[in-house]
Amino acid sequence: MSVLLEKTGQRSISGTGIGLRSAHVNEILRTQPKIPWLELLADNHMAVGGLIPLQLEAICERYPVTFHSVGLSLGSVDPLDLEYLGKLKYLMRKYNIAWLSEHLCFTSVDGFHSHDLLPIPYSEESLRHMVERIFQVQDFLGERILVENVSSYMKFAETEMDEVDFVREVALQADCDLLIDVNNIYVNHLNLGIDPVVYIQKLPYERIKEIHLAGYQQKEGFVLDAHNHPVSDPVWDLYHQLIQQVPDVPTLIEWDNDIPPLSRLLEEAEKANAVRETRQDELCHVTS
Amino acid sequence: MLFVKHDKMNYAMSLADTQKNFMQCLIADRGNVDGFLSELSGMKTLTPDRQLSIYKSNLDGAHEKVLAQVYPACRNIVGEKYFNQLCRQYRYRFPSVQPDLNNYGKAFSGYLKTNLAHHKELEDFNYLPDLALLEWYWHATYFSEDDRPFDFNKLAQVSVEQQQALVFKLSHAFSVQKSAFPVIEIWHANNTATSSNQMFEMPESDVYYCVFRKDYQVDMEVLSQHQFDLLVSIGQQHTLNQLSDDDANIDLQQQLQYYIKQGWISGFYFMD
Repeated sequence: MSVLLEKTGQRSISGTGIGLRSAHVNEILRTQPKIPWLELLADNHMAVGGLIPLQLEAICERYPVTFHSVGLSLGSVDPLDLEYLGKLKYLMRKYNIAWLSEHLCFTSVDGFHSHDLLPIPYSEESLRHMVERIFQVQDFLGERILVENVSSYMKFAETEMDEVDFVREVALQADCDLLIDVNNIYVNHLNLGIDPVVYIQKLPYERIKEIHLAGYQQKEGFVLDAHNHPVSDPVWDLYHQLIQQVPDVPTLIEWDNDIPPLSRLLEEAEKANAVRETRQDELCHVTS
Repeated sequence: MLFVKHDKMNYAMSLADTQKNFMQCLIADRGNVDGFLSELSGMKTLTPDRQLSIYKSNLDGAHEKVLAQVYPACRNIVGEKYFNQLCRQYRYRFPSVQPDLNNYGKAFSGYLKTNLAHHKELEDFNYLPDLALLEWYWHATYFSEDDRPFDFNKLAQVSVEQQQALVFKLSHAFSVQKSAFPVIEIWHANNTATSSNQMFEMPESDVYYCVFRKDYQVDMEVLSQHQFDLLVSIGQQHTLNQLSDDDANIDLQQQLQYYIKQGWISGFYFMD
């Protein structure tokens, strides 16, 4: 694998950011609220003409930005979509995007795209495949990516390892970083019965570069990772547990459906700040 | 690579087989559903069948959401419930083959046209394919590639001899359409949430229109048949010489100036 390049001139990503969705773009550009950083769904900003590229440029001029993508299909057995990856690389270079995160799942196979995050069995075969794919992506981009644990509604009989062991091994073997979605851990606890406390205990903390917080929706017999509710109390508790270990890792509030006013998102961000600052204060006291 | 299942002593699917079968179950409502379900473990509240149905439902919802954004007028006319049924049938017939969801739904008009004969409940809505086509071009125009600014200086330097071989280029964000139905009026009355039930007179002749983008906003303009024919000829790369011969009933110079001003013509080149 080629040497990963360190970016220069990168604006720092710290504190609590929000996932910027189209409903809030105009307001953000007009009012320029004090938000430490924004995460954009890269897939929504790939249009080659019209207003979208202009908005992307304007956003990136005003805020530090990270990219989150859903179309790389990291776990797929199809060849990597180099055209898609090339577009990502072009935009990342052009707009000085801090980093790219993707999901530990597949979204396409045989040329068909589901546009949903589909789980893969946690097997040795999947692990080898995922690691190889991340190597390819990082080689292409010339930098590390972050990979995110996904919510799931499916349990494969042939699972050979726990999800957290899979996530951990991917990060270590592929030499990539992690985006830990605390809500996804909790959703998988409710749906699949994983132990969220043990999950967080087993994470390789040094690899965690970003945390996601979101809300789920109660459905009949399961919970859906719908990103259409405030962060739930149990997820705040787990976030508190994780922040004990990684107090300086930036956090992001995701809200993708039934999107509320921007001010409501910023309230959620403030709550995350309060949790993190409490932990940082504790550490200061211990040090002093 | 094959794994041996401990309980049933069946051969488990490879990662590739698992993914391909999973996808077929989702996008085509066929595939080896029983085989795929046998790869799953039941959970307290979620049987394997239920697990798969959650993903199917998620895909339905995602595709309905996308198509509802592209085809708001069609959706308002047939109603949310029926539109979602159409979306589900459409997604099985035309599964997405690109990562960019903005490109999804292009064949919806053709799908409606093909299926009008099979859906008795749609017999009063025979204008829907044309309306869907208008909505698709409206959507696609918003995302179309930018054009370079028109080079007036270069045009001014074109000699009389060169003019014979000059070919104008239409903007990437421009398209012309025609319909036997009053689709523009129907669209205006139905493309927002506050759509109204109105009766529309059938036009005496075809309706000609173009969809274009100007100052980042998508817009529409009604055309005469002469304008439509001229713009189609330009799109077919007729030379300026040919355009002059095509239609004597139109002021070519005036029209070309207007198209350039509107951004419908974005540039020119010379035919070899």
